[in-house]
Formats: sequence, structure tokens, C-alpha cells
Amino acid sequence: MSSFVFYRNYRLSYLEDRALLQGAQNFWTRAWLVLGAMLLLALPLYLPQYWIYTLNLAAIAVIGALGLNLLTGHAGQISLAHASMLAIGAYTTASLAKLGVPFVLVIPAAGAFTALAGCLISLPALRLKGLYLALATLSFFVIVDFAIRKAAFLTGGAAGTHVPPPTLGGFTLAGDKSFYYLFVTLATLCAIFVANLQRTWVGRSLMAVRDSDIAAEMAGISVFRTKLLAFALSSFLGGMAGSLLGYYLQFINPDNFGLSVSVAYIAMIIVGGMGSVTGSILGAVFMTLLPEALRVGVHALSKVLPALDVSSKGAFVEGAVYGLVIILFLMFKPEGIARFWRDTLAYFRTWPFGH
Amino acid sequence: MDLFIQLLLTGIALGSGYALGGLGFVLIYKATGVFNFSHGQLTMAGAYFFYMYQVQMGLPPWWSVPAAVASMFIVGLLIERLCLRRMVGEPAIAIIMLTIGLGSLLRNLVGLVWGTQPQAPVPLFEPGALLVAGFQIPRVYIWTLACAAIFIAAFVIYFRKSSQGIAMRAVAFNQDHASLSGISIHRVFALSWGLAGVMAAISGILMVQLVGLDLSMDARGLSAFPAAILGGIDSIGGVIVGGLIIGAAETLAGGYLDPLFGGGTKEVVGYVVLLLILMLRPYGMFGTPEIRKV
Repeated sequence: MSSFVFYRNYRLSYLEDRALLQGAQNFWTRAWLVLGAMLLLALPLYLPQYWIYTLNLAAIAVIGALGLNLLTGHAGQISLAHASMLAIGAYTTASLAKLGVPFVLVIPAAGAFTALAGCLISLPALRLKGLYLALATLSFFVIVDFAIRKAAFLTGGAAGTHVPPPTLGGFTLAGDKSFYYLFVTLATLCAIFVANLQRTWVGRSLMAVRDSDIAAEMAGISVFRTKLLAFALSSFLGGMAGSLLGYYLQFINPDNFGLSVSVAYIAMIIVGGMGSVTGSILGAVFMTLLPEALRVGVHALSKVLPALDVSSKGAFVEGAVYGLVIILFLMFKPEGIARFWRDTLAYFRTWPFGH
Repeated sequence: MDLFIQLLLTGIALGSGYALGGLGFVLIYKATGVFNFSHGQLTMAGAYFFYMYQVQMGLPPWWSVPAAVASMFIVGLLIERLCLRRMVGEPAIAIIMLTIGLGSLLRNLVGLVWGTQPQAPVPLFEPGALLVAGFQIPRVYIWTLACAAIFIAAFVIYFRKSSQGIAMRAVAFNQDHASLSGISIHRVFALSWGLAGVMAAISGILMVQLVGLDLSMDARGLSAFPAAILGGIDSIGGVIVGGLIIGAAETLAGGYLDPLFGGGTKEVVGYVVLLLILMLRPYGMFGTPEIRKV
């Protein structure tokens, strides 16, 4: 019977205590989960194509944001090079897909190759902290960008390169809807992976290094190994996101992976909530939908005020809003939307006795 | 050899601009402990203000300099008052990200207002070249170098001699003690940001004379990072030397490596240097060594 209690903030068994999702034993939580999953599966059947496209980008962003949040939120290492991780993943995908490798192999291979590159940046990170690390990752970003622009034989240089559609045997994945199901499945798997990781020794050592590297070292955690692992895991997810983005856009060039992409991912994890899986998901979806909402808003406004026609300057509006959102959230809501989400849930669970 | 000396001179002129920009950056770091990732964008904003007063509002060329400088002083004060003051005591990672956000905001606001087209402000210095020891040296370089030297000297004297400069150094040295001796920390922080805005504006205006004005300007301003790290982030003398070295390295790479790579090495070489320094000697040539072995 206990599983039908609407909400209880205590556990009745060790199984509940170990649950991946708090309250997963509860009937109502399960009901909401099933409802949510059905909604996710049914959405593309009813939405117009442009919205499916936006949701696809959001799902890719979720994977990328999970990766960056693992590094910055859990392990406390700043990275301005997340765009480079996406770029490396995307270009690896382009090269492999041109060889006719099936996509079920290409996506993990792109992730693995990017993880190797991530280990490369972690080399300076093993000595550096805070702003020095931020600068080192910025240098890494600039150098990767330069390499991509110059290695035209491999990457098509500044002009970009074509990414063949994902194939498996004779089957070719095409159309926004098929991509939607692939992306949503992968994003869900990644979210479960990271949520699970938080509970293992790996996740806990990441958080220990974030909170105090000296104390972590004293507790017997190898800081070297932990940071290396943080960079590798984060780059793996970033590379996977890049790989999916490459497949989805079908054509990539260095401008897809500019510094503004790194900033956008930082915005996602700050807005969502650092060190939280819910935060990565909410932040990524919010920051992907925000420019769309903005575009609609500005478009409506420009009918009243023709001087406001900024459609030609969309990228600038987006960038300015990313910057503004980062500043405002850091100043006023440093715990991000994840905190809102928790508070709202708690309000309804304890209603009418909330405070 | 001629090419080498020519490139070196260009580099030193450009580097003096970096040094001046880097000075503002070191000032903020020393006085407030904030590493300002939006410094490149501040430099760019200063240059665009100069363009606005000079071309769009039609002020006489030289009068636009103090106008742009004053505007950037106010921008600096506003940034401190609206954003950074609320962040005192927050973790370093949050403040770094805040300045990254600030940089993105500034850059895109400049893009929104002035667009992506390269702009052409009226040159402040007469064109032509002087013949010195058999080398054609454009007058612009000489004037830029002279201006940068004068301003750097003025700022250094200001820090050493004026009561405000001494207050700033006191705050940099020990905030609690400075506060106890009656120095207003808030005023010092505000002044540091204002002055950093001023230095960013001057270095931006000087760089415009050398390389023109467009949206890639913020990358130029960002060259203050390698300059500051190379010299040592808390050393004023270091940032000047670092600026000159980075300027020279950039133009030399532009001259010798660009033909090999097909352009673009100029933007990268500063960061390669930066990465090397970070790995070998993170506190730079003249900085205070900190023991932060991890």
C-alpha cells in the first residue's frame, strides 16, 4: 500500500535508498514517468516539422550539456573548449561516415576519439586550476579551430565538409522524425548514465576533487586519475553530441563550432544548475528554445515597430541573450532552473502544508 | 633581415597597444582579484565608441578620444556597480563565468549596433613614413609607440604617487587592512574598473590606427591574456614586456609562418605561447610564484 502514498520524504527500504530516481518506488512517480515518456514518443506525430528540428537540436544539446556539466558541475573544472569537443566529434563522424562505417559504430567511435583529445587538454589541467585552466582551454579551443581550418585535406577547411547520412547495412536513417527518436533515446541513455555515475565511486571522487582537491588526495583519491577521467568522460559525451550534430546538419564547417558554442554550453549548465542531471536537461532545452521564443517575440514586435527588424542580426541577439542570461542567473539564481524545479515539486507534494 | 626588422617594428608598435590593454587587465586582477575575460570586448567597445563619436556624430578626430575614454570609464563603473559588486565573496569559477557572459553580451551588443562590416575611422596620425637608419618606418608606428609609452608612464606614476593609486595598491595588498585604514573598498573597486575601461579604450583606439576596425577586434584585445600571463599576471612591468613580446611574435609569425600555413597564424601564435607558459611557468616571467601543485 505504501507505494500509493502521494508523497513521503523518507525511505522504507535499502532498495528505495539506492534508487536512481528518488521516489521511483512510488506509484505516482512511476505514473508521471510513463506519461512523460509517452508524451516524448508522441510529440513528433503532432508537432510541425520546424519544432521537431528544434527539439532535435535540444536533444543534442542535452547530451553536450551533460558532458560539460560532468566536467564543470561535478568535477569543478572550467572548460572553454567544449565547442572543440563537438567539432572533433563531428569531423571524426564525417571522416568515418565517408568510409561507409555504420552509424552504430561511428557515434561511439567519435566519442572515444574525442575522449582521447580530451585527455590531451587535461594534461595542462593536471597542473592548473581556475582561471589558468580557463585560459589553457581557451588556447586549446583556438588551436583546434586553427587546425580544422588548415587541415583542408581532412576537414574541408573553412569551406566545410559534407557528412553522409547515417547508414546501417542497407538501411539509411533520414527525416527529422527518425532522427528525433534516435536523439531522444541517446539523450535518455546519457542522462541515465550520468545519473548513475553520480552514485558510483567515479562520480563521488569527481565531487570530492571539486570540493577540495587536497582533502580528496588525503582521502586516497588520485586527483590525477580523477581529473583525467572527468575530461575523458566529458569529452566523450561532447564528441557524441558533435557526432549527432554532424549527422543531423549533413554539412559542417568551423563556424558551427565557434567560441559562442562554448559560451552557449556554459550558459546551459549555469541556467540549468551545476552538477545536476535535471539541470543539464532543463538548461539545454531552455537555452535551445529561448532563441526560438525570442525570434517569435522580436518578429511580433517588429510588426509594431519596424525599426526593430533584427532578423538579419539574429546571431547577435542570440549571443547577447546568452551573455545576459549567464550574468542574470549567476547573480540572482546561481542554482539554476533545477532548483526551481525541485521547489515546485516540493510545493505540490507538500500541498497544502508547504511553506 | 630587412623583413625581420620591419616585422619586429610593426610587432613592437602593436605590442605597445597590447601592453596598454593588458595593464587595465592586470589592474583589475590586482585590485579586485577578478580575472576579466571580457577585456577583449571592452577594448573593442572602446574602439567602436571612438568610431561613433568621430564618424557618426562628427566630432573632430582628436576630440573623440577623450569622449570615447570617458564613455568607457562609465561603462567600467557600470559593470562594477551592476554586476561585480554583487558577486563579492562568490567562488572564483562563478566570477570567471560571469565575465565570460559579460564578454558575450558586450561583443554581441557591439555587433547589433554597428554590424559586421569593417568600419573606417579617420586616422589620427598623418600617413607616410620616416626614414630611420635605412628603414622605412610608418609614422603611425612611431606615434602609437610614443602614445602607449606616455600613457603607460602616466598610469605607473599615478599608481605610485597619487593617493588613489596608493589606495588601490593597498587594497591589492591586503583588503582588510586597507579597509581598516579608512579606504573605501567599493570606491577602489569601482575606480579600478573605470580605469580598466579607460585603458581598454586607449589601447583600442591605438590598435584601430594600426589594424583597422571590425568585429575581429575583440580577438586582438584578447591578446592581452597571453601578454599578461607571459609577463606574470600580477606584475605591471611584466605585462609591458609581455605585450611587446606577444606583439612581435604575432607579426613575425604573420610574416614567416603565414606563407607556410596559408594565413591565420597570427591569431594562434599568442595562444600557443600562452599554453606553453601555462605548462612550464604559470606565474609568468615576473609574477609572484604561487605554490599550487595539484
